[in-house]
Amino acid sequence: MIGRIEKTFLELQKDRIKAFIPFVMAGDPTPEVFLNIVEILEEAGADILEVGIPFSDPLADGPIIQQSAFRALKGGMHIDRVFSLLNIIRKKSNIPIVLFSYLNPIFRYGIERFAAQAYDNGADGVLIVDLPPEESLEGINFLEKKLDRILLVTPATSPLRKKRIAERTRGFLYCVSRNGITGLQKELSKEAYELVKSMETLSKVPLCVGFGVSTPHQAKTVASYADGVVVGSALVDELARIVEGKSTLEKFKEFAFSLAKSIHQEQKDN
Amino acid sequence: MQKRETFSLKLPDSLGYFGPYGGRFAPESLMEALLELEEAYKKAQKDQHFKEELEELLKNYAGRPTPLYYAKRLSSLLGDKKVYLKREDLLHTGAHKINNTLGQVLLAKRMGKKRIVAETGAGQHGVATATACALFGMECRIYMGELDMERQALNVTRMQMLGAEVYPVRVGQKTLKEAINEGLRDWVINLHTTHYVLGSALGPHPFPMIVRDFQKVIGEECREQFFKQEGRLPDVAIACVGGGSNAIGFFYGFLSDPQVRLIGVEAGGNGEALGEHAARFASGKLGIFHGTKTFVLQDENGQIASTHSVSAGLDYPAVGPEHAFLRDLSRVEYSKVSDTEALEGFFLLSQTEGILPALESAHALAYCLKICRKLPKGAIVAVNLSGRGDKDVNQIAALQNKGQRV
Repeated sequence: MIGRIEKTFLELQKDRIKAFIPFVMAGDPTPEVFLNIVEILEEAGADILEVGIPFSDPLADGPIIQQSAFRALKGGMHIDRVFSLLNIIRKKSNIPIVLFSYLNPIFRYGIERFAAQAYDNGADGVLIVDLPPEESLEGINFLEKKLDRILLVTPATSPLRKKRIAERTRGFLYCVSRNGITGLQKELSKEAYELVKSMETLSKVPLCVGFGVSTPHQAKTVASYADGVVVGSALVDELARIVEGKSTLEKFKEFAFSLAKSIHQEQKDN
Repeated sequence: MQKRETFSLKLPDSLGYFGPYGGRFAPESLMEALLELEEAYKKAQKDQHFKEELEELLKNYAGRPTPLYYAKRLSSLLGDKKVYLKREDLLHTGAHKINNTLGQVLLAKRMGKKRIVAETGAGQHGVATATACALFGMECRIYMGELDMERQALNVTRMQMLGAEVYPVRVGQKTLKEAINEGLRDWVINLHTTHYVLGSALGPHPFPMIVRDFQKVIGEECREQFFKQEGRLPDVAIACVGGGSNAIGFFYGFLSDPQVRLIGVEAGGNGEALGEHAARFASGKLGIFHGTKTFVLQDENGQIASTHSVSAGLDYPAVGPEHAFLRDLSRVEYSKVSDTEALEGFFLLSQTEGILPALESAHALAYCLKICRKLPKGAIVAVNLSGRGDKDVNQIAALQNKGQRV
């Protein structure tokens, strides 16, 4: 049986359409608004949903995602509550869901228990930021059986490790657009394009680019060479502006639609 | 001289593990930098020139060897016991931290790096890093929590005068933990030009190994000095443990001497509740934080807990992975003392010996006072006086003004 992630990419690829993969933090700013946001994103045309599990010390993230995690934690978010939210989403939607987390909350929860619960509540994949492929922990094999474990490559990753990571990743390969942390940027680096090109012959799974894709224009550029585009900080920033009373859900919706449109209209240049 | 039994520890293993602890739990964006650092360090270790250059610096620039001082007046208060102080406080910049920063900055220079970033809690590692950077003409930025900048204001000024930029970290509890997050983020962004000088025996492999190796000079020197000055080894050796760099360096000299009881002292802070202390072995759980698997103070959801200690240098939620392993092996015991006890230790040493100890080192002293009551007559105790207390005088004066019992 093929999973939701694979199935989604197969369908998209038939029509040569690129995937729009928004990232949102579970429970930010509240569980209710989060669920509302997820509905909006799906309505806008999200193909895969990346859901963050908040962590107190997100060292691979810039200020926007850090603040998002802190808001979610302040609201009492933790793994079991994330699963309840997934469960609610799953009742209405078949969108593939990738959980994005740091290792310690999962380790404390119990890796096997986490994998089983995540699967039962409808998660499809997991990306653990600070668990490189070289490290093995008890329960990871089980987790990899239950969920697509998505790995990352960055412009700094060596050719040897790129090959190993490409062989190990499942669902898709997450290509980090630059050497750096998550956050907005004015211009996309050429590194992202070069990274994707360097992975094309190595990877059997779709190549998605994330970290710093900030505008519909940038998303369109990335969609011209990658199979999917992850947009996190730009969306979360808009959400933060809503929390501060400087924006509205209506505007968030417009932004999500414009991102989806620019990604979906871009066809792969063969 | 006494024959050394070999303590069969050749650790960490090739993956950076000390038994079940350690490892390299880093984001992909740091992996290549860590591997590059490990390679460069292995090469440097084999290079006689590197060794000689570092030894020369430690001797003529930093002031090694540091004295092993018999604290006679202090000892006389403790019955028939002999307390010796390993005087790392007399090193250039005032603490053991310079042993590591000279080594790492020298290594960074070999790697062709032009810029250094580091975190600091008490400011001692920041000052030692800024100093090494000034010496080698490297650009330097130090990340420091805003709360620590207040309580260690003197060290902020020192770093700035040495030409470093001190970057305030205003996130979370604004102490060492957040400063490390920010330092690592900077490193991720500037991998090609920058080396991250981690200040304690913490973090992802190879840092716990590198920092230990640069600090083990403390214990090795101390061991020789005991043979010369006392004709025998101490019965007990005590050091404070934040991340644990001074302690691991001190203990390393005595690991193969089973007759020397080794004791690490954590910060007991204000109480037992989570958030009131930094005693990881007392109530921490196994976890993975800042790249290493070790004991971590955390809540039931795996969120990293806030910590408290009167001493900024011990105010950190995780303990170095090698300490966790030495504890499992029962080779080192770990205990804790409270803020109040540490302050008592501070005043006692100041007024009996004329030595102001750093608040970090005052924890080791405070434990020494406690344990001496239980030791047999004639016992010899070694305390690693990891740093001097000049940096702490404003904070302690402020506590006195607030009417706290000090």
